[in-house]
Amino acid sequence: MAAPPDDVLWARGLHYAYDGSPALQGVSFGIREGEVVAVSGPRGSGKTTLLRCLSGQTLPEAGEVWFNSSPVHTLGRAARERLRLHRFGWIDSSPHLVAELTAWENAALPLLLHGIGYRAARKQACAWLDRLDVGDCARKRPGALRQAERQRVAVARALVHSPAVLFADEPTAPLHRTDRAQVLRTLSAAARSHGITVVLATHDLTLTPTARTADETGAVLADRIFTLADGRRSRTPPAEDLPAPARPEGAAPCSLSV
Amino acid sequence: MLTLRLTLRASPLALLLRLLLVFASAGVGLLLLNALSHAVQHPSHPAAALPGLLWCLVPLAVTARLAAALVAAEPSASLRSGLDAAGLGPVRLPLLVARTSALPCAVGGGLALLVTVWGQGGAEDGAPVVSLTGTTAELPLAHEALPLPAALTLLSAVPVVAALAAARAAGTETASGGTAPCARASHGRRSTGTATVVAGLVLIAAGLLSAAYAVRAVRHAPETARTGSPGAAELASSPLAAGWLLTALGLVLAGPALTSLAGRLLTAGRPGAVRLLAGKALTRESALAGRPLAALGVVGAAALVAVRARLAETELPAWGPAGTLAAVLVACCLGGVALAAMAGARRSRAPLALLLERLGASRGTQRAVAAVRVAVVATVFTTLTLVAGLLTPLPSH
Repeated sequence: MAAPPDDVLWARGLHYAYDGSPALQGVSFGIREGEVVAVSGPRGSGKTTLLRCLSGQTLPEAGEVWFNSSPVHTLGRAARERLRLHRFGWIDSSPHLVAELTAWENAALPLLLHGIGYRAARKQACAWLDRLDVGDCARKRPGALRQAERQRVAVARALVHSPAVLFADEPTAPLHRTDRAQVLRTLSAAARSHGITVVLATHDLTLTPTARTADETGAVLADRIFTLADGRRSRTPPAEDLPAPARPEGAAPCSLSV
Repeated sequence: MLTLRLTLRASPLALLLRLLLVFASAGVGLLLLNALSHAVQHPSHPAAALPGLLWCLVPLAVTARLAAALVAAEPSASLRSGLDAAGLGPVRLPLLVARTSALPCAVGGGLALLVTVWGQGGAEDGAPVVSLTGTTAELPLAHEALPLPAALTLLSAVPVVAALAAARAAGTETASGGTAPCARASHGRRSTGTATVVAGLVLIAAGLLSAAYAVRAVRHAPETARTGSPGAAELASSPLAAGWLLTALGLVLAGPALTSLAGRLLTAGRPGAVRLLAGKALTRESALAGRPLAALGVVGAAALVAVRARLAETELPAWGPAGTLAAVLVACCLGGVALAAMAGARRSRAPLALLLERLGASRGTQRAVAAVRVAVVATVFTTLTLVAGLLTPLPSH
């Protein structure tokens, strides 16, 4: 069957299990072009597995994944790799930078893997690092950067090739609150101004009261919240239940020129 | 018991290295007993046995290096963190590691002693002899009463030295373990620094020069004049052998720096992804794998020298069973060390492979990176082997 035409990424009835322990049990998901969707849920609820299935890193045991009206779940390994390289971006909960490359080389890695020339890649990567306020770190190695700066370099690496869909798997997990807010705002602002669709896995929105503040989890930055629990979709918490977002004290100022 | 369980449940590579350690320590034990035998046979010239004993230091050092390499392979990182949680932290882990590497060495030493006791009585009594490629050789101390205290003292040197080396390796490993990439990078810079390069090059030059100078001295030695080729014992205690040893040491010291330099050259200009990743990986791994690979290169150079000597018909003195045993032992141990270093380098590349998979780099790209790296390493060390093997002076006419 064909995918609904207005969804850029669409999945139906996803099932996945790690060595017998179920991670996804019949999850259906759809996201329109340019939309920012927060996938929330506690640890072990299947957020990462959902993102991995959607981005074609793992094949679901049952169910379908469609990207731009073409099936992902039937593609071969090489085709899925090509899809990830050219159309998708991925941010992990830890930066995962290559320790021996400089910040700009790390950010330019997708472009270099595309086969774009050294100078063009450097120009583009440095431009993205500037936009994310880490332009002065471009020539440093990851070892000399703070964790928040490293995570921004990882964000730049995910955005540098202007992907169609950006997957962010708890991108703020290792950061302090002020840095979390900053990274999330830069991420969502960059995505909106470039029309990039974002699937953002965040911590549980309902369990911890502090996590409800918008800046920290990105829930308010998202157009829609998709809640997972135990590998199934659970009822989305109504937006009016969420308290008004309070800016955490000492929030670092952030200049955005995205 | 923990020692035994850790030994039995280890990975295949660790088991292989441990087995190698058993045989290496048995071999070193036999060599040490051989030196003792020589001393017992010639009680009037105690100084004559000294060069033989000193030459045993080379296989002993290589065995200790193998024990240290075993630590890098085992216990694995996951087991290490489990042991740390159970209270076997950075202080007590070296003790455990020392025990686990002393055990195979002690077994090897016991084997050497058993073989020696078995061979007592010599060939004429119908006691066993060892046949090696057509020549039969008696076991050490075949005709003399076994001086047990001296033999035990000599044999205990192997486990003690191996345990010390392993404990030291475990200490540095745990010290740099937590924040792995950055800490190891700064640790690696020491072995690829300018001072080490200069020291390595100076040693190579000094070794080659002293060997070239010593060639004449060996040529005019009394036994060379008599038989046309220098005797094994004479050659072993001559400056020529010392020069060869110095050259080998210099090559091993210069190995990491050469690898690192090759990596830097590879990323020169405006590299693409493959060249960039391969070059940077080489630069990083030079600290891990540079020395073991250079040592393998030295083994290759030694083999080349032997071939050259045969082609030039300058008869190298017959090494005798002891020399052959030492050469085989050193080559096997260095092979094991290189294997362990490769495994370590492979482990250190795992995060990069994961990242490339996340980014969607194709299998072809990853294979190309690996192929370029292997090609560069092979080129560098083959060149090194050829140059060292062809420049080394021979005791020829």
